[in-house]
Amino acid sequence: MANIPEGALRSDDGHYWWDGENWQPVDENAAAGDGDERVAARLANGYPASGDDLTEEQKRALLGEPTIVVEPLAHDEVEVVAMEDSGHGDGEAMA
Amino acid sequence: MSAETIINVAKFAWDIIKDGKPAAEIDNSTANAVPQVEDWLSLTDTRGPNVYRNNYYVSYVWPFDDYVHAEFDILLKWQFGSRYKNGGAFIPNLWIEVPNCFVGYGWDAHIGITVQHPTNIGQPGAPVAALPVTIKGTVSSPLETYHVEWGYVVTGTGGISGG
Repeated sequence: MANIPEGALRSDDGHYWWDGENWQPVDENAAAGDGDERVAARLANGYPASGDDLTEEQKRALLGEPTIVVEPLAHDEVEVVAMEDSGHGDGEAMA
Repeated sequence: MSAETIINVAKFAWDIIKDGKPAAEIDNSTANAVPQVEDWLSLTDTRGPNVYRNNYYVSYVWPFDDYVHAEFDILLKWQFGSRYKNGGAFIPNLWIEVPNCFVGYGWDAHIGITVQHPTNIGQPGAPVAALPVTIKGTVSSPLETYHVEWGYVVTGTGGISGG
């Protein structure tokens, strides 16, 4: 079960709930497995139980902000040496 | 013709995601930054590839946050460190892979890559390739359009700047 009292106010992103004085983090592990809570919230707010049944207007209203992430999956770098016959000092490390 | 003049002898632009799906041409499209010499295919000591993942993700908000609206991964890959006459640092191949692409019903995505002319950021006798790369496009419905853009400069030493 999630750690949220019944009827508690939830933040728009669903990650916090209001205890009357402060925003408290949702127990994500518990909430993730609590499909009944999601369905109850959908129905309580006048939405269909399944996202597949949302109207186009509802989808637009419920669309979140895009997140963009860049992460290196493989990264290595090399040092540079001068070319042979370059006349600029063969083999000298440049970086 | 000079090994210190660096050119792209491959492609300068191609589609990455077209009509919401990975474009077929990503499988045979590359750019490069190699010395302007006839025997540039004789480059040695190539390293890599370095790989950067560019992830775009949109879901719906609570209580539908378990429904993904759009998500795709664009992998930017490049080989680097290639030497000509045992020196310098060139980029023999830069390419794109899309291992994951989902765009919700009624929406579309068009993303492409543009590569600018490479330059030499090295020192006399030790050329280093720098290749500016822009990945950009749109995720859109008939009513809304989100612009997506990543810009990088990748180098023959394996470095990358931007994002």
